[in-house]
Amino acid sequence: MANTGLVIAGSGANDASAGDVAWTTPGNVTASDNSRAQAINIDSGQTSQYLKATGFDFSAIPAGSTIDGIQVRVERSEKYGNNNSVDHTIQLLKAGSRVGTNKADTVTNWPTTDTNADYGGSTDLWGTTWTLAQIQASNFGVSIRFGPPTSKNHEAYVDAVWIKVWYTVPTGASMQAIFIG
Amino acid sequence: MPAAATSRFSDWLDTCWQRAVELGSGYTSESQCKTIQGPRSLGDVPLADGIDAMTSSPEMESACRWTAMFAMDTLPKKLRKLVLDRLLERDPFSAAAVLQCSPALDADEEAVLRAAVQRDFPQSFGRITAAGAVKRGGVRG
Repeated sequence: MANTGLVIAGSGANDASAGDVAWTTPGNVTASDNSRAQAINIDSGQTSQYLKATGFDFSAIPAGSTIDGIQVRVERSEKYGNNNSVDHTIQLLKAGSRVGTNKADTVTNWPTTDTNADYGGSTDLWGTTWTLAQIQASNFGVSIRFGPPTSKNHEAYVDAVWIKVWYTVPTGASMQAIFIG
Repeated sequence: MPAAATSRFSDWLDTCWQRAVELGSGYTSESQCKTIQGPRSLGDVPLADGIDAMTSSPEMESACRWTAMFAMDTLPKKLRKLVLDRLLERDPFSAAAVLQCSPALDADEEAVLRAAVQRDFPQSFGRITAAGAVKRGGVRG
């Protein structure tokens, strides 16, 4: 089984379909450079809206490959790092829509300094099925929602988002690669 | 505050505001608390009507969530059920937060929330419920 390595998001956007506080500068999730997407002033009981990270370049996966597993890495932090400063939603986007298992960790507070959190893995398809075309689509990605904290004025930050895909190359393609060198 | 001690929605919001002050150290005016402020627009209506309107409004989802997390003991049983039903219908992923934070759930409500958490977060159900037991016995705000 091969993998793509961690591929960083190509774009970010706020999705206001649910939640209270919008992500500003969502496009900052495309580089781990301390320029962050941010949701500011999240009140007790509120959540952020959805932060959609998409535009991952998986063009290197050979045609005909089957998808075996998906890992998401989120570099995130929070102003206080306490009082239920947790994930609300970590869900993959298929054709732009949230699908499958919500892998939110609703126990662990986001730390006050940028820290990576990993979700999924080499054999984890997040409770749904994937075609290569779906993975390579520009609207494949991950949706992130924060909260609800139990105190006022929380600030959630996401610096970067990566996805790694494990795949199996079809036997014919593998042999062809060997013969071609 | 005993359940159903007030029959007016605005009085109940006053109670919620006081609780927000207790839980969210640092609040000095209600204008800072957007979660409570939203339902004020519903006016001075009977409590049941206000809860019905609040839990039906997409714009007041956070107030519904906040009530489930912090103020279930201020409502009579019928309205508690309405709050939970509407919240889980609109935002089932908040079940984990309510289960972990609310100090005032009865056995039936806890069972409903545990089922929702087990369905949506099966891989971390044990951690969530274990942490919930700790939080509910201690830190709330």
